[in-house]
Amino acid sequence: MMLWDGQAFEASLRRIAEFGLEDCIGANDCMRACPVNRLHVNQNELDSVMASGVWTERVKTFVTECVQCGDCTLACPAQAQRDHMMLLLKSRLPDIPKSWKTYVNLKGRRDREWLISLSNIMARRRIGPMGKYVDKRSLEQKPLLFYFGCYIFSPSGSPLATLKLADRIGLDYEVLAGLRSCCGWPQYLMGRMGFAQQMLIHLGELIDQVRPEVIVSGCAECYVALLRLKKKTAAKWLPLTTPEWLLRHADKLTWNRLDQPIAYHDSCHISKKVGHPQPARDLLALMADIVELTESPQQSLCCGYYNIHANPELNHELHLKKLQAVQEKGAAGMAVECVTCWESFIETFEQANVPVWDLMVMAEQFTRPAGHPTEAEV
Amino acid sequence: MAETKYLIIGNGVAAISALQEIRHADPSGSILLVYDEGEPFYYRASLSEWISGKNSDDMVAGRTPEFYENMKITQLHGRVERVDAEKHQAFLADGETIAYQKLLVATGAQANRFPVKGLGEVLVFRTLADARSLKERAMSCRRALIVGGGILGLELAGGLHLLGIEHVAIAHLGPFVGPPLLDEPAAEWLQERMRADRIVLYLEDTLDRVEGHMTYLRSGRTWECDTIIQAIGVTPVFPEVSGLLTGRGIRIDDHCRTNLPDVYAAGDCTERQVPGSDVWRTTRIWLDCSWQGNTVGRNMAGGDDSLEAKPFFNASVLYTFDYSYIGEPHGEEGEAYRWQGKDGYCKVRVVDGKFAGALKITDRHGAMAMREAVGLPVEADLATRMSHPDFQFNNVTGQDWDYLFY
Ligand code: SF4
Repeated sequence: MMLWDGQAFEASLRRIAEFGLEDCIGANDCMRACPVNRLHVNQNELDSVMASGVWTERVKTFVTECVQCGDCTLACPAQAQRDHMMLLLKSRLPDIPKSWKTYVNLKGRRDREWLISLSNIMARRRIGPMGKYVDKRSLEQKPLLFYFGCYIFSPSGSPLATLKLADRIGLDYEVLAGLRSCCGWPQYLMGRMGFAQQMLIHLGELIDQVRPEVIVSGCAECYVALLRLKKKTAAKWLPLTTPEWLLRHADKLTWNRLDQPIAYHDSCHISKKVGHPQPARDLLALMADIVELTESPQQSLCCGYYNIHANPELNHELHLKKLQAVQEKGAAGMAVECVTCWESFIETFEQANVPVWDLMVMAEQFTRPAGHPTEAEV
Repeated sequence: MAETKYLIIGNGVAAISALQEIRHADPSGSILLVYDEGEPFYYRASLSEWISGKNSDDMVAGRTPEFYENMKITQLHGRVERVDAEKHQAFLADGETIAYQKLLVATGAQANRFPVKGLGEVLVFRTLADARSLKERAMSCRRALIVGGGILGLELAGGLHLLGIEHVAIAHLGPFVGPPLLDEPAAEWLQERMRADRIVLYLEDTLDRVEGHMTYLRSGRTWECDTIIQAIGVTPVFPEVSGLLTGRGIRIDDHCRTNLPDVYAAGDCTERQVPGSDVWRTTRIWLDCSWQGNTVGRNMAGGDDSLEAKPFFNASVLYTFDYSYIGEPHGEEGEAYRWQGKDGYCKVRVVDGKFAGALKITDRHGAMAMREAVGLPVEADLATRMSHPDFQFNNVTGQDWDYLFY
């Protein structure tokens, strides 16, 4: 049952963003903290555009490139939420940037059924055995639901690894995946609040068919969307990140260890915004020693996922910084808990021959059922 | 005689918020902004960042020059001395007269100064001009005395400390620094940290006289210094308007109307009646001023908007630490739940089983959630956990506590 009306997303965004404008004391800490502020935009330029509704080219470009990491909000002494102010500006952009077209046209657009169907046909081939889970026509009632949404198509291999682990542990589950169950985040990122809200409501309806007790997601954005859905609908199910879920079953697996230390990359949404930096570390610690890249998870540099489309070059710069930090700390690779972080980093890291481990893929390779002898022992 | 539909006197956050709202509601009505400072709206609350060099000149400006053009605002540099509300005319010091249809007085407040024997120049910290003189001074300053240990005095002390000035003392009349923001235990927490930074605190004391580089305090103690700054509060300022009801500030109702037709007021120059009492209070903070500005702007353009009774909220810098102040964390009634550690301090207050307010220093996560939670029932166990820095507000689902938009 949905408890919020059609305009709720827009209205609450406006409420938070306008509070930011009223509250801004001009410290400019937000813009100093921003990882993608290559134009050196100041807070007063943003406030001026927000207050007058008249755009400047600089602000337009900056708004297009904002990756919604939330570092600005964490830095604000007055607790204005600059990331939401950016989102409101995105929702008011006079024209949709070219780089956003893939997103706008496809992800989360249930009004474009034919496009989704076409894309499903092409994508199913690409993902082999997982194809059967894409936009399933009927969903069974199960206590455990894996929610992969549009990341079922992720080249990270994370969804398949997650299911292999569940099978290894001996769990019974249902899978919800495909463009039709997208959480709406891509639309949300562009300030297309109406579409985002529609998608989330639809997701809630699909989940209701399964009546799960636990929903597991390996994408930070999907996970946050689940939190929001739970809050808005007072749902009883418990949303878990993939590491949170796997840790609950860790004793049912035998774990192997890597003999080299691995760095961990914090997802902005899970570690910084929701404030759960620990579960992924606990899981990684079962397989390798961990190298911390920053003093605290709050200081972690964003993967810039969003700029895969808006400004790939800028994104590449972020990745090089991350890569440098990993190499300087002497880590043999970097682990991530969010598939979009993986997708964002992989190209740059592969070029440098430094592996990026999706934690599910890693766990799938480093475990066997508990009590199961190794080949060597046989 | 110049004519305008809307005349706004002032260049603070109340004035700028009002003009934004007027322009949204009335795209073509003429707006004239008159102020006697050298520059339009600037971020007063971030001047210490400018002094310390963290922020450049163009960051201090609150809005870009294009903003004023786009909003079709006419600006006039001058001081309004007198207003004839009946004739709808304002008179400037240079002799000019402006006829208006609606008037907003948002002239703010000025720093208090008090004469001290032997003290020539009195330095204060309020305007950009004050900040300029302070910045000049700071270059050669080795030893400073700040008179007044309120929020402003503490902000100054923090700024000077960050600038690397090693000898900073505060003389403060009260028994502890930072009232009314801090209560005694919170002040003790802060004072300990300030002393660790070698800030000298003279409590229950003030400046009596100055002889050369030596200052003599009322208690007889002495402090050698080359810079003395007074940070002893502000007083509302406004032009003479015949028939206008005033106390310390211009008296306004919840629509930001004064007792005179077509004369509105907002911001630091005003005072409002505390509901259910005959006490009138001036505004205390930036956020209040911008809310008043929004409300008055809408009303001047024909709206019917009243100031919402929102829980008090302020977040800013205290000495060198971030803090949030939510609702009413201090008071006689109710129970207080405190947590304090090396890096932070938190107090949660519950009155009649309901969450009344909180003060958080350094670690402020959850402050926005707390703002949403003022008035909600809170049991002792929850209050204790809420005061702890590890409390996960985003796990409190079902209630709209986490201010994350999600
Ligand atoms: S959300 Fe991140 S990218 Fe966007 S403005 Fe804030 S710091 Fe910059």
